[in-house]
Amino acid sequence: MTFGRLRRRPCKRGVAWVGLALTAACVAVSGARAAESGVWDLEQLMQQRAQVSQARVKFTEQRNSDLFERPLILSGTLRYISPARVEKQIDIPFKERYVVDGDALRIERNGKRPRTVSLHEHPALWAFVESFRATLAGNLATLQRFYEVSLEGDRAHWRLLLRPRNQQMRELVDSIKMEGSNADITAIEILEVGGDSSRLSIGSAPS
Amino acid sequence: MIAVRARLVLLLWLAWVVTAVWIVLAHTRVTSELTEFLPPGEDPSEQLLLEQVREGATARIILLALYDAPHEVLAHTSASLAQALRDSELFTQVNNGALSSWPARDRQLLFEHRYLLSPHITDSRFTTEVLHASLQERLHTLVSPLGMLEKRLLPRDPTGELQNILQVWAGTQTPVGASGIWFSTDGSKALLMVQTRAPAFALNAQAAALARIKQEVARLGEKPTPKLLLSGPAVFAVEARETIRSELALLSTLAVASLALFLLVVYRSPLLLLLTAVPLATGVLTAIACVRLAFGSIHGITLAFGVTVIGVAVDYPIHLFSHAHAGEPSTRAFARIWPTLRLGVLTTALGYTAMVFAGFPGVSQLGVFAVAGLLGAAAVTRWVLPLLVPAGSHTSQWPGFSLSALTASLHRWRWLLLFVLAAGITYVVSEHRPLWETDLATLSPIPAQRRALDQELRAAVGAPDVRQLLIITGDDAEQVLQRSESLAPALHDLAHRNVLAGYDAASRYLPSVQTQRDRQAALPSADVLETRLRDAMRGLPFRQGLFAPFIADVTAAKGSKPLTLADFRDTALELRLQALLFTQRGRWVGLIPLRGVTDDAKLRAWVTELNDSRVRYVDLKQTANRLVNLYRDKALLSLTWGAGAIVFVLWLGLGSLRGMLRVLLPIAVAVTGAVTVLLAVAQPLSMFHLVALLLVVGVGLDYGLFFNRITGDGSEFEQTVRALAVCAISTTLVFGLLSLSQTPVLHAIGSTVTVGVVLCFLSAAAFARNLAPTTARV
Repeated sequence: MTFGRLRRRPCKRGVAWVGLALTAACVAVSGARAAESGVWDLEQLMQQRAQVSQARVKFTEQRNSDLFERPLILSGTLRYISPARVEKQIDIPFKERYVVDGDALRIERNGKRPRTVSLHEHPALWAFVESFRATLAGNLATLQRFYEVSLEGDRAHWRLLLRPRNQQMRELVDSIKMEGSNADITAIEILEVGGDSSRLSIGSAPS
Repeated sequence: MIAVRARLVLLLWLAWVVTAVWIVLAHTRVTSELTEFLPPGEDPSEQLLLEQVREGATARIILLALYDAPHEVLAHTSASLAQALRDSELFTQVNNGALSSWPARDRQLLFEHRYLLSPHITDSRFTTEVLHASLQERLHTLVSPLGMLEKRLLPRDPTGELQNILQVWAGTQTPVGASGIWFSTDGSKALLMVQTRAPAFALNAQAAALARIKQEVARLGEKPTPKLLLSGPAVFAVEARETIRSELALLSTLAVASLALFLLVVYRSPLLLLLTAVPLATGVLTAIACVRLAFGSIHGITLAFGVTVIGVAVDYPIHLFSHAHAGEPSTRAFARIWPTLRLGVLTTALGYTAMVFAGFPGVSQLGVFAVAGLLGAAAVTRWVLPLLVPAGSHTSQWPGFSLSALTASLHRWRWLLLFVLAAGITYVVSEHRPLWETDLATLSPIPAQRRALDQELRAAVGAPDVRQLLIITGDDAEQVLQRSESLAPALHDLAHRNVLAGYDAASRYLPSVQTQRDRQAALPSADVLETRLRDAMRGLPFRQGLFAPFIADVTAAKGSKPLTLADFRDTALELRLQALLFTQRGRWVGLIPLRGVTDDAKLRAWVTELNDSRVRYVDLKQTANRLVNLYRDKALLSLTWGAGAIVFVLWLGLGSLRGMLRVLLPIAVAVTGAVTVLLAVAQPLSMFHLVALLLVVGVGLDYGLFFNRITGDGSEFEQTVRALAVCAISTTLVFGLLSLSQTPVLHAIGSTVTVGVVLCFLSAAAFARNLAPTTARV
């Protein structure tokens, strides 16, 4: 389902469908005027994303790379806390957690010292992180600082295409595609320069 | 006839001034290199110290701290600043802890030779188990967001050797696996370490580098702009120079202004005021020109010390002006005092001559400067000044009371003076006050607080201290590297026992050929590696055949030529290696800078136990202190000879033992008194005090001679006392102001001269013999 099946600020943590219902209501209210005029553009999408304060969803990810004998399948949980914290908890094939908060990327693994990397120190990594963090936060300015952004489709089925501006990032990543519906992101697809690719599909929010 | 002679003299003087100015301005280099000031060291470690002092790698390190902004801003500024400074070409090394921004060429070199350079290469590195663990580790990295950055190298470097090598180069403090921008432990300061291309003591270039850093921080325009703190030997040197310059500018302006005001009050003539400066100015010019002719250049220290030492020349014109009677041509007045002044100048100059032959470049320069300056000033006073002073100028009768009466009362209390002195000496001796200052740091214009902060920053980024190091010598680089490697386990052990915090060594970056050969021998053959790799890949998702490039690289490394210093030519890495491993007079020298040494004695004991003449332990600070003390002792020794010469010449010149004693006793009292006062206020003596005492001796000789001059009548004696009072007050004014300085060196010179000159005047007056006629006059 959706990464960003949202908990709006007034909403409380609850069972998924409550959140869903409330989200729908909130979106309906805030988006009412836009819906009336029929406009669906980047500003609209970002505005809706900016309303989201927290989210927690399950994901599965498929990595296609010539490093592997066959595609590598990962699954786990994604969590977003507005405006700058994103956590990716991997359960399969091993347990590991990545936390992006502000400038720091922290890699946590059981029984090991966490490793912290400064994003400013790795421009490509920083650009990569902002592809989803800035989208999640509805921060169009940051997103456009790192990417040429274009939006296709309609409110119910949109596709956001990101092409990196940063030279170091361009050597690694060809493009990033996000798919979604309303304020929700349903998939993130990354096409790397060497031909490797990955597709992360967002499932239901864990109860 | 006289007029013709006068013109000739003036012409000669002008010609000399013009020549001297030409020599000084066009051909004299003022050096600030300590090495030119010190004797050529006979001990190789001393030679090394001198070069180390001049342009040592550690002395060129500047530590930067960015603070007072949000963490993110600090991190970003650190990264952008590091890039900007790397681009500026002013720095040979810029390190903010981040590994990512290394030049591609350097990374390539390290990558290609990773199996010879990585400290992890041993027999067990490529066993099935270890390979499996490595691959597992790689899989984790690949899945993480960092995977994107590192995946390209995976097929060639599945064991992550490049990362291991980069960690070694990145700095001793960085814990493995936690690369990132350096921050202080409390996270409030982002830290950077840079190394200037300019030598440490090229202060102008250093100042330019510092200015560039400040400029770049401002130019980055982060909001809010982080504050910047700079630290390091060069920073201190530049700051000290600025402090001294600005203080000197302020104090000398004040001194000149108050001196001018005082002399105007006394002489009521702006012309005489201007003429007062003529002998000293000519003397300084002559001194600089002579030092230039004798040594090829002049050292900044000579210049500063020298001007102090020949300060007595200001007194010469004062004697001339003060002794002129109303309406009398100045030449006639001068003829009366010249014999006395001549003896004073000759004895003083003779006293300084001993320094010329000290066999110590710094002391010799000072000697030449002092002798040339004094003789030059005296000659101008004798032959030129009388021609310039208009006939009939004479001093005012200020102050309106008899000074000779005052000296008479001093004479009555003369034994009290000696008693007070004896009491002072007894006090100082009973308190066991140290006579000499042995730690130069106390004279440093840098506050102790700043030095403590420097230590803190240094520890945080693992920058080597400029203080303690091991020196290894050998016939070739290989020998030095091998010895360095063999010391490593013991150094680790010492660090473990907290004798020291850490160390740096060329062998950490460039292993000896022997070690590289050992590593080659430890690499498995292609067949063996392939089999082990196949087993290691079990249960992991990697594609079969993925690691063929790895096998090829290991096989190539096994047969490759070991790396040497030459392979690093023209890389940024080379500069780091050159600082630690270099040739010196045909010998190879390896430096092992030590960090955070807590137990000097244990370290010394360990080095002694090694019983290896090729490994030495040097404490640069101690050695520097020792050298300066050597300078002091050499100067002192030659001054003792000089003192002997003074006694002899005085005896000859005055023709009587009693007369000589009468002149020398006040000087002895003044010098002993000044030393006693300094020690009593807990100011042990240094080279700077010694220089100041030289001036005191010069002044004291004049005072003693003039007070004991045989004068025709009481009014002439009154004139002499007035002249000497003007001299003493002038000197006290100038050096009294200098003693107000916050800079320890200026304060030392100022306070010593002030105390010494006051004592000289008082005791010369008290012990003078000419009192009878004066008292009779009253």
